[in-house]
Amino acid sequence: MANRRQSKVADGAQRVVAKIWEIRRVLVLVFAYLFLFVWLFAEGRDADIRPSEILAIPNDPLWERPDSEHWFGTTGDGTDLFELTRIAMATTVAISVVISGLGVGLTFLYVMMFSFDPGERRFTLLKRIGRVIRLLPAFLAPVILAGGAGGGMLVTGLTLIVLIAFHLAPTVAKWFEEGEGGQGIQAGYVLGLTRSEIVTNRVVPVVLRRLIGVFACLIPIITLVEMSLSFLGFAGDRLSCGDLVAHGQDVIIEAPWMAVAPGILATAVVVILSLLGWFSSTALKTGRLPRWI
Amino acid sequence: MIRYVLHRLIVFCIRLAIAAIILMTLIEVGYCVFGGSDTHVWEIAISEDLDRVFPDGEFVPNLKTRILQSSFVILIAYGGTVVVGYAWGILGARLRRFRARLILAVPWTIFACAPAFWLVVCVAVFSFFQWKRPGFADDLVVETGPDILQWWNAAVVALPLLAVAASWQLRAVAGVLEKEASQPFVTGLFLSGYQDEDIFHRNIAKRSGKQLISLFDQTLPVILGGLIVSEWAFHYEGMGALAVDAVKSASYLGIFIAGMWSAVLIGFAEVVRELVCQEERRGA
Amino acid sequence: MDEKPTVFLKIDSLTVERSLGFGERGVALRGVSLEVEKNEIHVLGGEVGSGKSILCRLILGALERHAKILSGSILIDGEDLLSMRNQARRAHRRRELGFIGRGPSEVFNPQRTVLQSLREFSRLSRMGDRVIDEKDWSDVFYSVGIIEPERILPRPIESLSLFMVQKVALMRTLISGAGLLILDDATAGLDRVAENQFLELLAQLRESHGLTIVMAMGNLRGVERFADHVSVFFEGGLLESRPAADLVRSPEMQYTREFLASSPKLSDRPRELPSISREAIQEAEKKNHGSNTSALNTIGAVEDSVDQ
Repeated sequence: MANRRQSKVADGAQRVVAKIWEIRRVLVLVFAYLFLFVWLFAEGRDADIRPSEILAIPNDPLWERPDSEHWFGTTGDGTDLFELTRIAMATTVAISVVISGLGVGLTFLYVMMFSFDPGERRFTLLKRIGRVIRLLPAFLAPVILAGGAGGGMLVTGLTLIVLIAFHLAPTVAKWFEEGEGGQGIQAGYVLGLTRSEIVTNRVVPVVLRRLIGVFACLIPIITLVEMSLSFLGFAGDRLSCGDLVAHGQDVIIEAPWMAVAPGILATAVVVILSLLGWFSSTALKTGRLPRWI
Repeated sequence: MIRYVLHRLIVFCIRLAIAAIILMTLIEVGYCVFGGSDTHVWEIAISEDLDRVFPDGEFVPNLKTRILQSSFVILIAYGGTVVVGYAWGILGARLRRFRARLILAVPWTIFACAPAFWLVVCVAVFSFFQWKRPGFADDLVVETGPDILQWWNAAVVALPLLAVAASWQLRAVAGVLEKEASQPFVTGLFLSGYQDEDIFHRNIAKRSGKQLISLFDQTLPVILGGLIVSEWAFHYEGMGALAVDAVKSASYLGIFIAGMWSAVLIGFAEVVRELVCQEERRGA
Repeated sequence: MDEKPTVFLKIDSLTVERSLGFGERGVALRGVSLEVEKNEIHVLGGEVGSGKSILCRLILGALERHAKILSGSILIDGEDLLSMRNQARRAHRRRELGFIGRGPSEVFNPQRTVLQSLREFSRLSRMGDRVIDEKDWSDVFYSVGIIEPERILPRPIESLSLFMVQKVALMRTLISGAGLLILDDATAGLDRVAENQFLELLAQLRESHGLTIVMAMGNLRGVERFADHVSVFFEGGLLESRPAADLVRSPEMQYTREFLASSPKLSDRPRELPSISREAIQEAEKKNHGSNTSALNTIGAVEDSVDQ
């Protein structure tokens, strides 16, 4: 080192400041997420709104164009479209968070099933399944399953969770392999630690940290997928942005804002979620993400 | 070489067979297990099934038209992705000192955050109100003369897909080049007096050749998946819209044809990439 | 009649500051002044982090991103390196200077073949008037001890042994016609025999091609056998700079004495591995901070101006 430390006190103080600075970045992200979710899930209309009820066009529609009072205009029955879109986004984001979390959790369990096998090619089957899954566009599977089941969040959600697990598993397997190949791990073997101890105490914490970053980046992607499925009519009779746009297409001449306005808020929320996801993965040092994220 | 090509083609056929099995399984699970339908995949009546998505009975001409329509979209989306992704990705890596990769990717990434179906609906609305002309793809048919409208419709469907794919491709290409640029030999070449252009183009880019080539087929599944919702939203009669039509009308063959068409394209792109990378490896 | 030795490389009161993160700045070089004569082998010795590598890179005209030159000058054959523009400095580096690092990956693109690497460098150095044409390379190969060049020319650099790579790096320096060769820990990783051969080769090339050589080394074992002059560094400052034989025979500083003696030796009786004593370090620190008042004043002035 070019400069020896002047004193241990200064050195210790510097380390504390550095640690606080690192935690501060994560804290800022936590607050940002909290702010977004609090705003999205703020008290409003009953979230269990059936689009078929609220978006039905009455005989004397009470449409209003966007103005200073109703930023996005109103629906046929006079409901503020901005508020409705907010509630729809809240539902979509909530579903995306749950699906992403369960998907990442399933991925971890799926990979852990193979990780304790001592064989060198323990992840071969997992990688082969991942390669086979990529033969078809990922979006096609939920379309077929949800469409065949008549729409419904349960089928859609389960399909997406399983898809996430199959697509993410080869990357996570690679993280395990990289983790087990490190020099620190070799030292662990030399010291007499068992494979289970090394995997559980050394490799798994690092993989879990990276998975949190992946989870953060996955939320905006699943949000877009959920909106697309609801646009196609495969997400059940539940309020969603895609559903709003689809209904808006029916009245595109009379009330074009019904189709255009919801997408603006949807885009803004997805942009914010994407940025937060990117910052989170950087702060958590997730490293190189799977190619489709 | 011939043996390698034959080997890859055999693997391609096996992959297609596996894709077919997966599709049939998905259809069976979706409709019979979840949906409660009594008609199993192996029990369909072909003509009755096809009539659901091709009601006028002209299966082959309709299918050809749909494939052609989707080909226009893929040409624009995928071609644009390759051009933008590689050109801007290389530029981003070349200007890595100025974080150009992130700056160049920002507009595409923001564009990619907008739902594709919403973008095409916005274009249709804008087209109707501003230009006083029909908005969706099925609103007007050109009966004589060159069908320039065809390209406009294909471009509208393709651009949201291009945004998603290009933002990924750009970052991936720049990422590969930046990783090579961080190798210790780059510092050594710099200290030896090499020019930046020589270091980047003759050394970094050349070393990354195989990795860069291996990226070119990675965006195709995303584009083909996005095609489903994008075509449907714009009322554009392509293979993506066929998939949705078939799912809604429970036409198992229609779903199978749409799915296998995607699988053929993805598999073919993979074979080409494997052949090219093999050549690249031998030439290095 | 003795010729007056000419100074080829002159470093005068060079002080370099470096950012250590979180606003802290450290001094990488403290008022370093030394002279290297033409056709001399000058060794820079010292521990890891003593400033040898930074000085080597500065002579090559390459400054780290977070480092800043506060004062001083570097003159190579009368030309002021620090006042050159970037492009001129790079061209100067290409034509006049040679560099050999710690291993193949620090010097060459490992996937290129030897012939490709040499040709590329020859093309880049084309502006110099001392560049050796490809048709005359066979003599140069012989000079660096490569007897059958046709066997290694088509091979990628990464497939060669470290010693062979260092010879190819020497070859590259010679074909460009460079006058000054900088080596940064180039013998690390070589076995003892290869190291001796490499050092002998350097001495021969110094005589045959008129090279001036500056070598950074962490181990001064046997330095008096091949070096003309040795400069010992400690924490960015120059402790002493004297002819090699004088330094080894009667070093002025206790730190130098202990540093020279710090090679482990086999013995009948078990003994502790030698290291530098606290007294030696204190003496060296005192010399660094005590004698380099001009450097400290400069740093103080810079800090004052930043605070204002």
